[in-house]
Amino acid sequence: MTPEPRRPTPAPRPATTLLFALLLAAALPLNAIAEATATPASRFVTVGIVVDSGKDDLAAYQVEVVTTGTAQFVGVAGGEHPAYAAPPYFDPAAIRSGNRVIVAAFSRDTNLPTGATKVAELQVREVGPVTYTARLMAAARPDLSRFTPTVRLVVGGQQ
Amino acid sequence: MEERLHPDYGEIEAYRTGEAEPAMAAHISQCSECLAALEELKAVAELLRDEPPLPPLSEQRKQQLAAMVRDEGARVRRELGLWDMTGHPDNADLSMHLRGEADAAVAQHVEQCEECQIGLAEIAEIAALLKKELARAGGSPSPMPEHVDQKIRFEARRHAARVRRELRLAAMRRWAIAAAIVLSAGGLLIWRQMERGTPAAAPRVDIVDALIASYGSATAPVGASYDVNGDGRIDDDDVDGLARRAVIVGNV
Repeated sequence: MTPEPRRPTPAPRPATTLLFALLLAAALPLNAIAEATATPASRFVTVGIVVDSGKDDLAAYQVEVVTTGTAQFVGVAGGEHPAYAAPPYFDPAAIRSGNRVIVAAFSRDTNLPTGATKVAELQVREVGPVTYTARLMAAARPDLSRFTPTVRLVVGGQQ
Repeated sequence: MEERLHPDYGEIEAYRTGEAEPAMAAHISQCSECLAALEELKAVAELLRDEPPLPPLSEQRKQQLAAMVRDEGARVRRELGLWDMTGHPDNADLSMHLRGEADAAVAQHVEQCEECQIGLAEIAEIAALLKKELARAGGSPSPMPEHVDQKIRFEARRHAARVRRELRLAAMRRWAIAAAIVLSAGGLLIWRQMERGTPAAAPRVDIVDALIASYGSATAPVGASYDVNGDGRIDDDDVDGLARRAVIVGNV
C-alpha cells in the first residue's frame, strides 16, 4: 500500500492561540490594554468547507476560499470524515499574508465520503464584518475521473 | 548621416578659376553655402580685377597684416560666442586690450591673470619696437585696402564656420559612439536572454494530478508534468510536490 502523502504540520488550535493571547494580555501594562480595547474587537470563528459529492465517492477535492473584510487565517484543520481528518494541503504563505487560500486533499482509502461532508475547517480571526466565498477548483472520484460536486461554507463556532 | 566638410577658401577659388577637382567641384555646385561663398569670392575678385599686383611685402608689413588678421579673427570669434573665459585670451585679444578695444571680460581676466599680464607686457614691448621701426621706415602704415579687409573678414568667417562644424561633428561622433555602446549592450543582453531561452513555466497542476501520481508510474505518465523532482520516476516526493504546487495561490 502506498503510504499517505505527507501533510503540512497542523496550525495551532484556536484554544492555544486564545490562551496565549490571554497570557500576553496579562503581561501588558494597563495603558496598552486600554489602547487594545479602543480598537474594534476581534473574534475567532471556524469556517467549515463542505463538499457535497452526491452519490459519488470523493477521492480528491481542491477548494479556494476568499474573504472580504478584515480577516486573518490562523489555522487549517481537517474535516469530519476519517479520509479527510488530517489537515489538507495549503499554502502557508497565503495563510499568513492574504485573504485567499486554497486547500486540497486526496485519499486512496476505500472508505470515502459521499454526500455533504465537511472536508476541512479554516480558523479565522475576524475584525468587523467578514464575508466568505468558496469555489471548487477540482475534484475526482476513486477511478480518477473528474467531476463537479458542490461546495459551501459553514461559518460558525465563534470562540 | 555624415556631414561633409565644406571646401576652404582656396578650394573655392580653384573652383572659380576652373581648377578644382571634380569631386570638389560637384560639392560646390550643389552646396548653397559654398555657392554663397563663391559669390562673395567673385565680388572680391571683381574688386581686385583692376588692382595692380601687390608688390613684395616687407617683413614688417607681413607682421602688420598678420596682426590684423588675428585681430579680425578674435573679433569674429567673440561675435560668434566662441571665445571662452575658461581659457586665456590669445595674443590678438591682448593686442586689442592694449589698444583699449577689448571686451570688458578680457580686461577683467587680464587684470586678474598674472600670466596674461606678462604676455601683455611682451606684446607692448613688441608693439613699441614695431612702432619705432615703422617710424624709421617712413611713417605709419597705410589703412587696410577695402578688398583686403573684405577678404580677411571673409576668411575669418569661413574659419569660424569650419570650427563650428568640427565641434558639431565631434559632438555627433561622441553621441554616436555612446548610442552604439548602449545599443550593443542592449543587443548583447537580448541575445544572451535568447540563448538561455525562456524558462519553461511550471505546468499548472491540481490535486487530481497528485492523486493520479500517487498511483505511481503504472497510472501516471512519467513526464515533466508529474516528475516534479526530475529523477525519471514518479514517487511520493513527486506526489507531495504536485499537491503543494496545486495549492499555491497564483499557480492556478
